[in-house]
Amino acid sequence: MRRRALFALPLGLATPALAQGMPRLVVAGGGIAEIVCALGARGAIVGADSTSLFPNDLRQLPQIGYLRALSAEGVLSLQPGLLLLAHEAGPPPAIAQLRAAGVNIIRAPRIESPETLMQAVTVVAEALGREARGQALNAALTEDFAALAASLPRPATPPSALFLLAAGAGAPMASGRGTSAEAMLRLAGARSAIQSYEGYRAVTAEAALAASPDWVVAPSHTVDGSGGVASFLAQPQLSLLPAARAGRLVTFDSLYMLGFGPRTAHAARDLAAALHARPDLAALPERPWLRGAA
Amino acid sequence: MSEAALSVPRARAMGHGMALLLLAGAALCGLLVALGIGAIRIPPDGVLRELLAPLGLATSAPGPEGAIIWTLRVPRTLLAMLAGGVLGLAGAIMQGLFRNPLADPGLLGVSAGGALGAVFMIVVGLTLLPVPLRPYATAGAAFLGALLVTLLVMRVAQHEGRVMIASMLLAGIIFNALAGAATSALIFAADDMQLRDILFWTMGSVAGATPAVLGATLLAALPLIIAAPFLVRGLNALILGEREAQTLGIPIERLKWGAVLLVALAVGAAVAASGMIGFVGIVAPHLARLMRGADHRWVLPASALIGAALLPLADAAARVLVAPAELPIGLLTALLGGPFFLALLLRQRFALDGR
Repeated sequence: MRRRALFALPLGLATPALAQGMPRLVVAGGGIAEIVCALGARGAIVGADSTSLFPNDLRQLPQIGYLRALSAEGVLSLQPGLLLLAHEAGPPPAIAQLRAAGVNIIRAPRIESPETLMQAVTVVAEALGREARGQALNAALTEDFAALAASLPRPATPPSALFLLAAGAGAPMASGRGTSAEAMLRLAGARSAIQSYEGYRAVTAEAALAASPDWVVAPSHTVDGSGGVASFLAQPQLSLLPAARAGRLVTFDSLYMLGFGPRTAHAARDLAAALHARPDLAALPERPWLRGAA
Repeated sequence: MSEAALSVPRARAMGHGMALLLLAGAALCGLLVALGIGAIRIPPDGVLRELLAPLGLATSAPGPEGAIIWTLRVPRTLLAMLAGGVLGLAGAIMQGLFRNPLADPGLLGVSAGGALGAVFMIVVGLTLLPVPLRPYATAGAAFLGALLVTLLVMRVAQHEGRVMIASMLLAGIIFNALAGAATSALIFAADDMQLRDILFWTMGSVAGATPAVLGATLLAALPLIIAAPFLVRGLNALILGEREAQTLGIPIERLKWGAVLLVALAVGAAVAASGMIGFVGIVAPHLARLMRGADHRWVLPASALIGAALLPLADAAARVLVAPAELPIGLLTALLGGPFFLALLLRQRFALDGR
C-alpha cells in the first residue's frame, strides 16, 4: 500500500506537467475518451460528452452534453485547442459552427471492429502528437486480440445469444445484424440469435422463442432496472425461453462490452468465458487502461 | 371567458400604441439579454462593442468574442425572436379564427406534419440525397410536411366553397392522428442513432441557425407579418359570429383560407428551422388578452412581440442552465411557460370568483 502511495505521488504531480505540452482537449465519444486516456493524455482533457464515462473521473469534467447533440458555444467556452470527435458526433451544424470559429477538429473513423479500433488509435495518437504511444497501444491491442483468438473455444456450432438492449416496458429491444452487440458476440466466438433484421428492434415473445437462443445477454443496468435477474427472466416476453428458464443469462457493464475502445479484447474474452461456459478461459494480459490508468 | 374580455374596448384603443411600444422594448431587452449571456462570459460592454464594430462605431476586441457574437449568438437569437414572434402571432390568429382560446397552429396539423416530414427525412430520406443537400433536408422536409398536412386539413374542411370551422377542427384532429401514427411507424423502424436525432429534433432548438436558415424562415414568415394588419378587422368582426361578420361585409371564406395558408407557411418554416417549440402559440395571445382585452388591433401585434421577447430568453436559459451542454428549447418553453400560465389562469379565476 505504502509503495503504491509513494508511486502515486510523483504521478499525481506529473499529470498537470504532462498536460502542459498538450492542447486543451475536448472529447466527444466514450471509446475515443478511453483511447486518449490509454495514450496517457487524460490530464489534457478539459471537457467530455455524456458517453465518456470511463475512467470514472472523466465524469467530474465539464459535460458538453450527448455526443449527437453538442452545442457550439458550450464547447467553445472550454477554449479547446483540439476537439476529438467520435465518428457519430454531431449535429453537423454545431460542428460546422465550431469549425468556422477556428476550432481544431479531428474526427476518428467509425469503430466497429479490431481493425477500425486500431485505425482510430492511430488517428488520435497522431492528433495528440503521440505516435510512439499509439504504436505501443496498437501493438498491445494486436497482442490482446491475437491472444483472444488463440484462446477462443471453437465448438462445431457456436453458442447463440439473444442480446437485449432493453426490456421491461413492452416488447424487448433485441439486437439484430450490424450492431456493436453483434460485433461483440462475434468477437467472443458466439453468434447473434437474430439475423433477420438490422439494428435494434422490438421483438415479440414468439420471435424470441423461434430464435431459440442458448443465452440471453443484457446490460447490467437493464437487468437491475427490472428488479434483478429473477424478475428480469420472469418477464412474460422471456419466461418461455429455455435459456431464461435455465437461468442462462449473461449480464455485464454496457460501456465495457459495447464501448469499443481499448478494453474491447478483454470484454470479448469475458463474454466468451461466459457464453462458452469456460470460466477457466485464459485471461488476457493485465493492461493499465483496464483500470483507467495509462 | 369574461364578457369584458370579449368586448372590443374602443376606449382603450388610444393606449394600445403605448403598450405596444413597451412590449417592443421588452422584446428588445430579451434580444439584448440573449445576446449577452451564454456559455462564454462576455461583459455587456464587450457585447455592445462587438455589435457596433461592423458599423465602424467601435473596434472589435482581438479575441474570439466577435465571432461568438456574430456567428453563434446573433443568428440563433434572431431566429428565436422570429420563431417566437411567428408562433405568437399565428396562435393569436388561429384563436381568433376558431373563436376558441385553445386553438393554435398545431390544430391544423402544422406541427404534426412538420414532425412527420422531419422524421421521414431522418429515417428514410437522408441516405437517398446527395451529400451537399443533406444539411437542409430535414428542415425542408419538415416545411413540406407542415404545408401538406395543413392543405389536406383545409381541403377536407371545404364544402361547396365554404370552409366549415367545425369540420376544420375535426379534420385537424384526424390528420394530426394520422401524421402522428405515420411518425410512430417511422420511429419504430428507426435505429437507435436515428432515434436520438428524432428525439432531439422534436424537443426543438435554434442552435442550427445560420444566416441562410434565418433568411429562408423570414421569407416564409413575411407574408403573414405583412398580412396581419389586414386580418384585424375580419378577426374582430368574427368575435360576433360568422353570420354577423358576413353582414358587416367581411369576406369570411377569403379570410379563412388566407389566414390559414399564411399561418401554415410561416409556422411551417418556424417548425422547420427550430423543431417543435410548444406553448408560445397558446400562451402569448392569452397573455396579450389578459393585459388589455381581446381587440385584435392589440392582440395580434402584442402576441407577436410577447413571443419575440419570450423565445430569446428561453434560448438564453437553454444555453446557460447546464453549460457547457445545452438544453432543448422546447423543453424550457413548456417547463417555464406552463406554471407561469397556470398561475395567471388561477389568479384570473379567483378574481372572477371574488366578484
